[in-house]
Amino acid sequence: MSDRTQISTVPGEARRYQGLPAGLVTRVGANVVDLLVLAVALVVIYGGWAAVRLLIRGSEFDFPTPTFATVYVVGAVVFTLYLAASWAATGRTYGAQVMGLRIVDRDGHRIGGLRALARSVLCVLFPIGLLWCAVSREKRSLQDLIVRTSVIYDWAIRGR
Amino acid sequence: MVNDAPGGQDRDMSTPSHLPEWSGSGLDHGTPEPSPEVDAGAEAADAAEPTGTALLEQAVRVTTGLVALGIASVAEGVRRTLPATPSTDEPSPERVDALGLATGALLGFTLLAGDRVAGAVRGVSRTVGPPASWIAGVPPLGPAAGWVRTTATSLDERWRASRPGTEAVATAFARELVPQVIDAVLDQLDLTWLVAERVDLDDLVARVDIERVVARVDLDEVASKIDVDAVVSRVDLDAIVKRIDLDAIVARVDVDAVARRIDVEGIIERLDMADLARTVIEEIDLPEIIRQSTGSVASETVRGVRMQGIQADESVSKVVDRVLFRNRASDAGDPDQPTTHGRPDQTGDPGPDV
Repeated sequence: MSDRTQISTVPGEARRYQGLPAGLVTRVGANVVDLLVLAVALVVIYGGWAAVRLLIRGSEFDFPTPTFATVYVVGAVVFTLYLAASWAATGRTYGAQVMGLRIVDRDGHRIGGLRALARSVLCVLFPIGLLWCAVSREKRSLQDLIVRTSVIYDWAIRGR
Repeated sequence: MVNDAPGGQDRDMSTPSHLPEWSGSGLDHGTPEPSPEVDAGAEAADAAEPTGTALLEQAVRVTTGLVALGIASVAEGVRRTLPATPSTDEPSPERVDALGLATGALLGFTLLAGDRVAGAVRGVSRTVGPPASWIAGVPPLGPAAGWVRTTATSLDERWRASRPGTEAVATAFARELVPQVIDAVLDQLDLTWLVAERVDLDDLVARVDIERVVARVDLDEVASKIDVDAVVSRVDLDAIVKRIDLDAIVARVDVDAVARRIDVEGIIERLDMADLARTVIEEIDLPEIIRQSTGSVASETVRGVRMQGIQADESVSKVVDRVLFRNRASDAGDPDQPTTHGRPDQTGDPGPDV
């Protein structure tokens, strides 16, 4: 399949940026989208939890009222797993796909599961480290520096 | 060439054998004059019954004419041989004129003599004829005439008896002699010059039915004898091709007309379009393209958001570089500068250093 003709579906005006490291704005935008995804996911989880309580308690049902800490912990865990699974599977989360980004290693290949999990944990625990990409010459965040990854513009679907 | 036509020779030699039949008398066998000349005289006499006197007169005239022609021919031959004498390069005009004068005088004399002899024969015939016929009937002369007739008859019979052998010997002699004579004559003739001067070759060729000649030629047989391979091997095809102006030839070709004559539909029918389409799709990885087109968020809105994100990234980078007093141009040679991360499938245009 490697010798087959590849026809790029990337628009002409964006082709010159493909493969280059992404900047702060694009990456923040991707994270915002991912947070919206997380919010939807939390709502779905909450709805599921409420449905389970309804089935268990019957007439004594009432909506659960989780504490902020609970929501934060659950959200952090869900977000970590979401990021790790997305990066290891396709190299991009939904937010990264919307913004045309992809997380790759130093060789440009898709990262492995453990590295993706480590990077997602770092991102969730210390999200402010993303700002370092605005200062870095290589546009790497602190997480990128630690796990030796890069975030590049890649509008194509196929990952590595 | 001469020996191939013996019939003419035989005919000429057999002519004397017919003399006894038309003359009606064996007495005339000894006279050579009334041979072919008498034939010509008989034709000129307009089929009238010739008398003995008229025949004799005609024979004298013919003989005179032949002698005159012979003298003229000899004179002409002598005249032609005169310039060949090695004494002088040019013929002597006095000698030629003297020869012509002598020839003309001799001819005139011969004709005059022939005419006089003919006149004398007529006069003698008129004068002596009646008494001679009477003398033949005188009794004392009767036995003498009978003896002459008997002797002539015996001589005639002897001639008739020896005629076949004599004719055979004469024919053999003629057969030996005529080719030599003709060869000698032909040796003296320049036949090429003779044909060129005397024969109208154009008229001769115009009379030849070329098509009939060609129709009789078996061209297939001729062609089968030709070693075409040997002929072609001697042809310098490269030199011939170099002399051909192919551009001019191609310029004269009506490509549109050629294209109209091509049965495109027939060609398409012979193609396995399904297999061809399958091959093309496999080569260009069409399923992947479709997947990318439908799977990616490639709407105009997303494209705009992405491009604005890239431009915002560049703006931020410029601001940061300006704040940090970083020279963006110097970053180009930085070995740690992020590259395309080994993505050869993407357009390799070096973008702005962001």
